[in-house]
Amino acid sequence: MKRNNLASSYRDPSGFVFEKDGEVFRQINKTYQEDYALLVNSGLYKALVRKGLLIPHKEIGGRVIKPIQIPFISYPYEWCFSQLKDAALLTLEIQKISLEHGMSLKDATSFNIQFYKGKPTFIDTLSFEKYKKGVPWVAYRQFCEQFLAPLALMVYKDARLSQMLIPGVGSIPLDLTAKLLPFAAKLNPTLLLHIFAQAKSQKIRNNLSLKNNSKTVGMSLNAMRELINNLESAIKNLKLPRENTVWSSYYSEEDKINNYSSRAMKSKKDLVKKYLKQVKPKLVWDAGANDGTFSQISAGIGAFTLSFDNDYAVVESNYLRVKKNKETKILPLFIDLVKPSPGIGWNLEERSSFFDRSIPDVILALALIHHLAIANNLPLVMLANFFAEHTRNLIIEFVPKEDSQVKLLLTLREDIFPYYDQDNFELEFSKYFFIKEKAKIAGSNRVIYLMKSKLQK
Amino acid sequence: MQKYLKFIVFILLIALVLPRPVKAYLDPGSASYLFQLLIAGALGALFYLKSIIKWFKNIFSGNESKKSQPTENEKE
Repeated sequence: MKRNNLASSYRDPSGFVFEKDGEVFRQINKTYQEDYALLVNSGLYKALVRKGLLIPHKEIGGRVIKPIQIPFISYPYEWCFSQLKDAALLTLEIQKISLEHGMSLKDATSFNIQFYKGKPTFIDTLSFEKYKKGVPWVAYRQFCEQFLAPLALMVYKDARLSQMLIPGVGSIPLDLTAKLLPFAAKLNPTLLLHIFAQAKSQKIRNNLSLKNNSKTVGMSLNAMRELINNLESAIKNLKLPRENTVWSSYYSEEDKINNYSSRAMKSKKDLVKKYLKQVKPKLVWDAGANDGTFSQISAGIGAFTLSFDNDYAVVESNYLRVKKNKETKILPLFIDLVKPSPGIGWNLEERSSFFDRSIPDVILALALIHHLAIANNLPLVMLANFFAEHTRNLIIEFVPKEDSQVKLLLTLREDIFPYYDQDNFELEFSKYFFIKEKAKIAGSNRVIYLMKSKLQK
Repeated sequence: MQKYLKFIVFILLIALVLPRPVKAYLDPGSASYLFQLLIAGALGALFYLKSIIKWFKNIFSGNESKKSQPTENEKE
């Protein structure tokens, strides 16, 4: 069978990740064997796995380990604030425990964290090295650029600034962060130290030889512990201001902007559940998931569900609910279907595009078509082709022009969509899909379809 | 605790703005390495100070089992 080395681990001299028969393995290079032995023999591996902080693995021989498989690899620019914050705190907790076992993290990239069973989990088993007395934390700057800088920008400026992690491949340079943060951020002593002062220090050319300096000065273990404690309190104190968006109250009782009576909502839920049960999916994308109401139905029948939306506030509340209720099969993500995460990094392969990472068994496109066709001017035939390429099955809701939500979209613009009606929708989608089922949502003028892609097996 | 930290940051900033001879090939990562060495003393002192405060708190709260903490924290 074909074995593919993954581009995400090209930079790591300790080993590499490869895929074989659809499963992911990690090869440990000879140079890392000593550190790997220490990870196991010091009891660090056991301690981290017992606490659910590190992904468990099996040794399968030939210096190859097989970790527990993660259903979907997501990236930090697809996470909401609280996901990135939890990933940052996990990294620091792991560093603390590593120091207790005579080891230290040699990198602190946010790509080392994945969400497994609803919780952030460290996946890079080869990130640990022997702690060397007196040597500072080699991953300090990386931690600040990958976690502290984006989180601070999200709190002091705007949560959408997490998207700066895309051009930076997971990092935001500290000097840029210092320029973008408002003066108020300087009044936060931990940010003053770890962002502003550190950024300033990078500009100052120092004539001290690094080798000589580390020999004479050094950083004690207690100083290192205090550095980690200090970063931890910096991260913990960062809290997102509460903001309401249009969509965050979409399904709420007191502020009903959607078109569903309780009868229609029940009918829609019943239909979605019925169609999902017919397909028996393992992986579902709930596109435009809002607060994850329908993702919960999909997770309820056992499917791992990517619950994504382009509204920041609803992704945040979706994650906080998943966390609170310890839901294990829903992964909330900040994804805009019309401009999803691209392939980035070395040769544009280091971090793959959203579409290159999975093909779901079902895409749920509920109350979405009018946003794509009318708000985004995407022709129905293109939408049909798009969905057929990216999923095996589609559960889609058609929202007609008579619907108040569509009327709202057309209020302030010319109606240039003469072909947007149910007949044309069925005609165009039939070119790329077999329409298996359709039913009207009771108490509404909307229709739900179950379709099977002609382009996917 | 914050006032100690502010004092440390103040001293640090003074140190950073002082002119120094240049070494052009020092990459920013190395600068952060040196930055940690620069703040290491202050961080170590802060850690020690916190341990003492914790120790006193334990004495006054009558938590005998944790009285020996400062000496444990000093172990490396």
